[in-house]
Amino acid sequence: MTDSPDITELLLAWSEGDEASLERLVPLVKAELHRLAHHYMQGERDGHILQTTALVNEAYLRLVDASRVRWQNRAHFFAVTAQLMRRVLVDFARARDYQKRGGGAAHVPLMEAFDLPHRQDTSIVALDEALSTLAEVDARKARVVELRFFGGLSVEETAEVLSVSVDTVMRDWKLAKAWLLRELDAGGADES
Amino acid sequence: MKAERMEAEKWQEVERLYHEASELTPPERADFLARACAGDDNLRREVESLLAYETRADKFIETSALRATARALQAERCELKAGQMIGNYRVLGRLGHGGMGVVYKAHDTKLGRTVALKLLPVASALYGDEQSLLLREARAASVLTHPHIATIYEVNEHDGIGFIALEYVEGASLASLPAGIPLKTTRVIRIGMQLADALDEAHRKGVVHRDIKPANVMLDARGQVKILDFGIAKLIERTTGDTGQLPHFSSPTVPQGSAPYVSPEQARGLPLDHRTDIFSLGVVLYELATGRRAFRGDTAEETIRSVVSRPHLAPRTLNPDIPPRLEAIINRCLEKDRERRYSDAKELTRDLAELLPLTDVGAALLSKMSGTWAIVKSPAVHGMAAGKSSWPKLAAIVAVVVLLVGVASIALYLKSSRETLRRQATGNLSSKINSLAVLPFQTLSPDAKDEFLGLGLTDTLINRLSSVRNLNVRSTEAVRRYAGKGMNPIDVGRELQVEAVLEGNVRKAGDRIRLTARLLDVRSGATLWAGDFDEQFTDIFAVEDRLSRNLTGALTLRLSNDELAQVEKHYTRDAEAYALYLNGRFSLNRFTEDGTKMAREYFRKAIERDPNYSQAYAGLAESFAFGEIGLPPEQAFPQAREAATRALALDSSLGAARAVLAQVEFLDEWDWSGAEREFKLALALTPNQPEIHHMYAHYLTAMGRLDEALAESKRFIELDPISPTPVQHLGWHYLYAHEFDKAIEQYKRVLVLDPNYTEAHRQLADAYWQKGMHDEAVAEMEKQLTLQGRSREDVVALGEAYKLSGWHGYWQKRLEINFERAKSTYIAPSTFAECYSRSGDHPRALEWLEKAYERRDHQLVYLSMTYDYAELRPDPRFQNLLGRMKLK
Repeated sequence: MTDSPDITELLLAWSEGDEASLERLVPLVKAELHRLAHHYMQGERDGHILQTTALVNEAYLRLVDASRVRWQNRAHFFAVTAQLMRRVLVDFARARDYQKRGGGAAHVPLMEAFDLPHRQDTSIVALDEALSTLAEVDARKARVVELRFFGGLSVEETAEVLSVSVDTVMRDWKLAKAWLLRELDAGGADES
Repeated sequence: MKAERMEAEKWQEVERLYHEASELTPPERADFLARACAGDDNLRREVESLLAYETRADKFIETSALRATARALQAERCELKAGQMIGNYRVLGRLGHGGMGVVYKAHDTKLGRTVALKLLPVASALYGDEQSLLLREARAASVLTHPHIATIYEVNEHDGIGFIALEYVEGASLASLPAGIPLKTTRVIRIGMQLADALDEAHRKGVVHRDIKPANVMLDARGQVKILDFGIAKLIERTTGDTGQLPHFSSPTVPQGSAPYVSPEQARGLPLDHRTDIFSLGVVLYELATGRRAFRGDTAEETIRSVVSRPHLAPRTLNPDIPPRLEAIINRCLEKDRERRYSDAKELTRDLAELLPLTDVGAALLSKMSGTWAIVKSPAVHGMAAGKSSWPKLAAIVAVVVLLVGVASIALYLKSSRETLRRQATGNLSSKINSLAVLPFQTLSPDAKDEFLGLGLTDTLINRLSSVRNLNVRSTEAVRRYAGKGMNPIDVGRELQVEAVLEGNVRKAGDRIRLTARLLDVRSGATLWAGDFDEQFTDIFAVEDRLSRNLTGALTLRLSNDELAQVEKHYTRDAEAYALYLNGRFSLNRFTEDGTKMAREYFRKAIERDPNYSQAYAGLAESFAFGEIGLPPEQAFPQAREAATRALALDSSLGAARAVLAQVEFLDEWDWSGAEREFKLALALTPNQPEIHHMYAHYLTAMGRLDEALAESKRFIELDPISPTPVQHLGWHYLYAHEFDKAIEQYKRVLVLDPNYTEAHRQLADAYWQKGMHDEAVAEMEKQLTLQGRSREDVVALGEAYKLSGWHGYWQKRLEINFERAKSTYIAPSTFAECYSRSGDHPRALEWLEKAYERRDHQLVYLSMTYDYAELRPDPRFQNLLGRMKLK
């Protein structure tokens, strides 16, 4: 595990305002995700189906070595990690969608191709857009979602990062999810 | 700046109200929001629309994004190798790539059979529980057992990978037929009948396929087809909340290769019901009959656009050999407006079957007489194995002939029993009309949203006329099946055993409503009355009054003042509220969970417009008490009571609301005298509603008043002579009257009418048991469990338990199975009490009866009359229970 690149280092740098480190971070994180997935696919040849939980836990361990983060920075660090994960995973989802559609020209979702009400799109890409819209209405709720969903933080950790009560996080989380679902159903965009 | 602050303030208000409302029960919410938003409709809509997502939001994005991504990756790349084990299955090889992932051929090492194994994909990264949702849905689909549906053997998870093991079907899919060559009409019809029959079975179990296409239909060497992939069929939305939310789709795009077969509503992303399958089946039949696709396009988008907006070419222009009637059938499946399609697959099966004698059996018989098999020997134009041997064909024809003879004898049986009934009902033949069927008014409006008018008005008229003591009016349930059939009204009248029928149509154009109706004498065919009304829609009440008055006049009914008041009564003066109410009745009469849910919304909206609209409250009460409620009783019954009480507070003469109260007091509150009072009031107010007689018969049986119960049961049959339910109910009556020979006879009669009536098999088993005929009882239960789609393993295990350790052993095994099932589904405590009692464990049976008592198990109301617990009866604890229930 020690041979993994300095993701934590770069994260710390980025969290301290070094925008350039982000450029270096994103491809590293992506490569790591692919590597892990591949690693587990190999194991499957021996007759084992890979274990998602193991994959995820290891990914977190490799990506985010929290022990190297100074305690005072913790909240900030978490917030930055969440943002980074959002970026990486949304890019990743976008690329995968593109591949799945054959990487070809017309990869417009079926229903958007003509003037009909299209169905909710439950992809991470659509969620990302909806989340940006939510940020305009209620920034804190959008951050709660970013920290919980993209950052993988618990309710308590989220409360710590945002310096609000656990109860507030729970309420924000609940309403934000309903709001996002409604937004996704409406197909986004037309929210004023 | 100021505007922004106002926005922020408004959002805070939304937030506050959302959280406060979400603490309340759904019915309380409406009141709370009405008060809290006092006049601010925008605010209210905002909060309500968010609340509508509450249930779905529970599961949404609860799994972190990283984990969700990993899962998706994993599912995509997962590939099984030959020899690998998944649970009990050894992978033999890859069969192909289906719409939902890779399919493998595998060997079931435990049961020694070959299966097709499908791995479930992770359909959406955002719903962490998607996998278990799919599993649950697939399990629901596994209740289907039908000769033309590939059976689902098992739905399970292994190391976090969901899979479905299903029947391995040899043969090729319809998609492998050569393009451009039409099939022979007989084959199209045969395939169509098998598919429609399979769909009918699935739809009646609440399962919609949603992806019927040639690739999902396997054809074997004998010309038998099987539908694949019912495993991904989404159940018609069964969320328990009644917030009126729309069903959601977990799969956001149309599966690969399905575009030419999607229904217009599917293409639009609208909520789907079973009629989507009827459309897709129509596309498949079109293709088989013409050799060409009904809807085409260079891209999937274009194909879908064509499905939505372009008419298909008439099949006969492509293949003039297609009989006009088959063309009409296909065209009706392909109606873009689903309301104009076949309303169910059964009707489609019937129409196809009617074509068969002409084209197939008749021709085959003719050709047989002339000594040749010209027609039977189907030319192997299509390069398929079918038709290579004439034996299977011959067998198929024999089967069809046997079937036709069977149908004819049932028809004869029905006819004779009907005639007896009619003689009983009419007594002497006078010209006076005692019975009437109001056939569903046809809606002629161009606007699909006026669809409700026809059936809604019919239902209202039936309800009004039901209060006339001397007139037997067929219930809406009995007549609704004729909607849109275009059948000869006199024939329908005969079938419904009435002396007169009213038929008509209604058209709404702009704000005008036009209603045309005529009353026919079924015996003579004469027109007794005809009328035509054309009014402003706001004057719909006047139209109805005139119609009722004309009708009762033409029927020469002499009405008492009370009856007259009921017939001409208006429960609201607000035309819009009334339209909402009619919409509610229309939805309620679809007798589906979805329909019931929509009906609730309409009734609530009607009440919102006119808070004193008693009838809308009654409708709301009915939607919580009868039919496909879609809610557990402990949630539904209190709401039923509340709505019924409100209805009666506004208008004490509402029979339907009384019936709801009666049901609540009988089944849920065990208030016997209260129930009796309400039943009697309900019957006095609406004497000719079959369902109230049915319920009252149950009540009287529970109270041990068997003679009265028998009279009510017979009345139930008289009022609804053609449905199987009343016939079956009479069997139930004999069972509880401990007249087991009669019960057996009655159930056999039901099973001739409908061999798949599971409840009849179950109760017949009980009757056999009571006669000491254990072998026969076990055989019936096996049929029942198989029809219910219980796993083959369970059924086999039960048979073995019975062979090894007899009746007691059988029930011990049943107990085991029930305890296992209880982990995933609710099983009433009384069921366990019965099993224990039947397995000879009386102390445990008593224990479970106590639990049933605590849980207010509805089945306990029959405790004093049931044939179960014979050996427990003397036990003081049993007597004590009866005492507490005031059933002594």
